Amino acid sequence: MPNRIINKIDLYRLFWRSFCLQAVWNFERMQDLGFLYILAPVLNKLYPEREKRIQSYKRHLEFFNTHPYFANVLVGIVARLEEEMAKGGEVKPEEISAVKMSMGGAFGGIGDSLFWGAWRPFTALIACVLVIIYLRQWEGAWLAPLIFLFLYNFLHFYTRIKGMIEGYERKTKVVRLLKRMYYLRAIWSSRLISLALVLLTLLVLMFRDWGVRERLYFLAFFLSLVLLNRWRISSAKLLYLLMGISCVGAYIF
Amino acid sequence: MIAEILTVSFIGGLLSLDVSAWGQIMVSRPIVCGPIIGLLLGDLKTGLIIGALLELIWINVISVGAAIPPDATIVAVTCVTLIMLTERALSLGNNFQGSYRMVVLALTMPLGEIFKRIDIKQRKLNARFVHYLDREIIKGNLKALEKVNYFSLFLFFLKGFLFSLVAISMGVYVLPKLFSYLPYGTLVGLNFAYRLMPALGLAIAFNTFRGL
Repeated sequence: MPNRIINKIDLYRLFWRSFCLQAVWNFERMQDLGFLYILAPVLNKLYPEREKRIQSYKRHLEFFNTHPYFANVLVGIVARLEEEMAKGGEVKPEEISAVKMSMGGAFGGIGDSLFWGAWRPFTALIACVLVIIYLRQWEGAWLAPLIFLFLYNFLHFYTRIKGMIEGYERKTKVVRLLKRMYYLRAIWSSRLISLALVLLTLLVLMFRDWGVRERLYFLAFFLSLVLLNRWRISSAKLLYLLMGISCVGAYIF
Repeated sequence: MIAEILTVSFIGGLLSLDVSAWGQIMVSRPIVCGPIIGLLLGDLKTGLIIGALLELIWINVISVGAAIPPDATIVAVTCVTLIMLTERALSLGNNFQGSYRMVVLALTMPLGEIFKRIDIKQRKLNARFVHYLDREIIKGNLKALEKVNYFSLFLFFLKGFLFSLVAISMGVYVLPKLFSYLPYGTLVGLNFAYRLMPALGLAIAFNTFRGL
């Protein structure tokens, strides 16, 4: 690429710093300091003059919040825009601010529903099911957490690395790329598989661990807990309820 | 025992960094940090099963925007550690191992809520760090950025370390005594509840994936 100031090594440094995004997360401006911390090496390189550097630091200490993995896309975009501005392009500081605000919100929504809402529960469920079903017979059950970490972090690191590179290369056009990735379909299909997994585990446990009459108790507890949980009763309260009912039951029967 | 408690608390502090402050590579989830603590204390199997049960209970806990959920990591670390450190001395039969684990679980569960309150306090304090940095940058002291960042990371670690240290060392003395007061019928009931734990976890997982 012709006359770029930021090279690959700089982007690597930004990538390693990006893990610290939420180190000073606060209620007032959320990830402002983290974003500035990630971007600092690039700003130092782009603005050797002291006055300009101080101005750029001040500009980036503004409210910023997004999903921590997708923040890298914005780091890439902002690094590119800052570079263009430092070279005397048409980019204005307000433009960078606007990009951070609007795209931060959009990526925050995508990231929350993709990673927190679908991918992490899905991979964690696979590991939990492996442990619960196989712990007794299979020596290799300790592999389950590793499988979880590997599966989860595959998509996690892909998003971080690819996001930063694509953000830097394509700037705001990166949104079009996202559309092609069929995120929503991925969420929906993993939901169906997970539901099937939960029910399968339930059946395996019911017919393996419990006697004929106890199976009914097990199923009844499962169904009533599902109902209670639907009424927004927190899991901690459900745990205490479960303990209470079984203690009372032990005295009656 | 003291060396074990200190080591576990140190690891617990590091793991609690992963919740939000550094990385989020998910070593802080109960399904991972349960076995890690188990490996450390020499009983991987217990760590795995408790970790899996706790993971299912907290599978739907997510932090969206400014909302901070109860902390699953600190509960998993303290629960697994307390079970392993005190179960040896109690020499429970096969019948009452489950009931003891239920007691530990019930008493460590509120720690997540308490830890969350402390977390919120710290995040309010962090706003002051940002104001401090604002002033320093106007003065031209740009090095303060790195200092504030690392200091805040250290505070996050210290919070997890001290909290698990206090919780574990208190639990080690309180739990066995408390357990000896429980009547026989309650123990039978609690053992049954322990066997039912997968049903609770699966019920919560079922609701999570149905989209609540």
